[in-house]
Amino acid sequence: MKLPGVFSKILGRKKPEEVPSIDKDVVLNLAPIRNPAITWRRYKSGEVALIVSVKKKGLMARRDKSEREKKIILDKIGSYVWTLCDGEHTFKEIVDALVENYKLHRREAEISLAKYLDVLSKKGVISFMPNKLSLLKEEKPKQ
Amino acid sequence: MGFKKFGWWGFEVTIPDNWDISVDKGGHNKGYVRIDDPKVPRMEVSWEPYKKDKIKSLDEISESIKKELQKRSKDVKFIGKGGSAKIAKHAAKYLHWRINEFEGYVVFWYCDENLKFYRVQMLFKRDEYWSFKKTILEVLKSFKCHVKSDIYSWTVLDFNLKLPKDFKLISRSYKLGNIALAFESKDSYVFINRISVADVLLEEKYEGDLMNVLESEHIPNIRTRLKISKFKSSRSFQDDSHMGLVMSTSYKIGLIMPKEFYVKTRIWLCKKTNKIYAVTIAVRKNPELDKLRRRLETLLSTLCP
Repeated sequence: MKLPGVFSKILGRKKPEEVPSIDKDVVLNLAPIRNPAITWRRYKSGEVALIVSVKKKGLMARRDKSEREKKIILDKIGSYVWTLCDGEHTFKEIVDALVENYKLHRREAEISLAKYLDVLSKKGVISFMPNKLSLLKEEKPKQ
Repeated sequence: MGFKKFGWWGFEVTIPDNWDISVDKGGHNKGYVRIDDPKVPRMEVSWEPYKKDKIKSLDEISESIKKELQKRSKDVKFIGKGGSAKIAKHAAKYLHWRINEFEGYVVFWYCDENLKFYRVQMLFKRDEYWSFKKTILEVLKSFKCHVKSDIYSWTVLDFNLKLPKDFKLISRSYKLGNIALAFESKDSYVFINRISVADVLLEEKYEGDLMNVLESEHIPNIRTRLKISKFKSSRSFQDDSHMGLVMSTSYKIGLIMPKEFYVKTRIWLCKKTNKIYAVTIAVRKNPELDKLRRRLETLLSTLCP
């Protein structure tokens, strides 16, 4: 239950911090980049396999802290997106490529790509960096 | 900038090409739709029924909208006193508000043809006013809250369909790459799926592949209402840019007074759009409803562009 301001002050509860909203323009100009520590290989079929290390699970894992390698095979579209995650292509450019190559509706492509990249970034295999062009824009001297 | 037609729950409007539905709530009686451009929300439409004997004047509504906006934000400012307009031949009122850098027009009116109160809000940034003004006028001029024909059009992203008025949308989901819609009318159902990236799903492009897509993507949509098991007959068809299957079966509901439905499913790959369309029409077996079944088949035969 949400307490009115006065009660929350009396009870000493802190107001939850507001999550800053990000402008969609900023997101569109972010360029996903692969984690250089991740080993990956491309098969003849075009599919990409990522080799990630994961912590062991189970009772023995408490004693044995070593990690094991796990292979993740990306599907056709996932592999295509992976190859574009080079820090050069922005989110918007990858959406454009998906629309063009797979005849997807722009919104459909945007939502799917956002979800997919979210999964990859949570697994730590990619991160995002601001696009070079947008950095250049910021550096422009004020007239 | 190009424009396209958008239809939802009986209203039709022309909107810019890059605007699409992003939020929808409610149903035929009372509902809400938000339409966004690639970056920000642009238009909100809400509708609710009203009774002719319990009607508030548009001026009273204007005051209550003002209060509502003031409650939402202390910084709201109203530009001018508002004014009158005509939307689809109905007398309407509008308000122009500003909250910091954002502005909006709220237009509201009673549609005495379908006894509903409509409220449309157009949203834009302050510096977009002059470039956006023409679009606002174009959109509002084209707004039809009631259509004279007995057919409603439905638009989801780039996908359009037309159905008789009495078909109500009972479920919809816009999963990634799979739009699923289900409509119901008296003793009849229509189930539709539009599946993207067909070239990835149908790698080998053989009929069995299409059957797999049918089983995994379309049948679950049908089974939300009709627990059909197997199709009795099946035939394939093909032309320059399409290939698919037509299947039919019958289905009974009820033990004491059973209703028997004629179920016909068409699933096809459209090579031009790289999409798979699946349509199921379930109509109660009855000579009177035979005409409706044929009409539905004609209306739904042209789903892909």
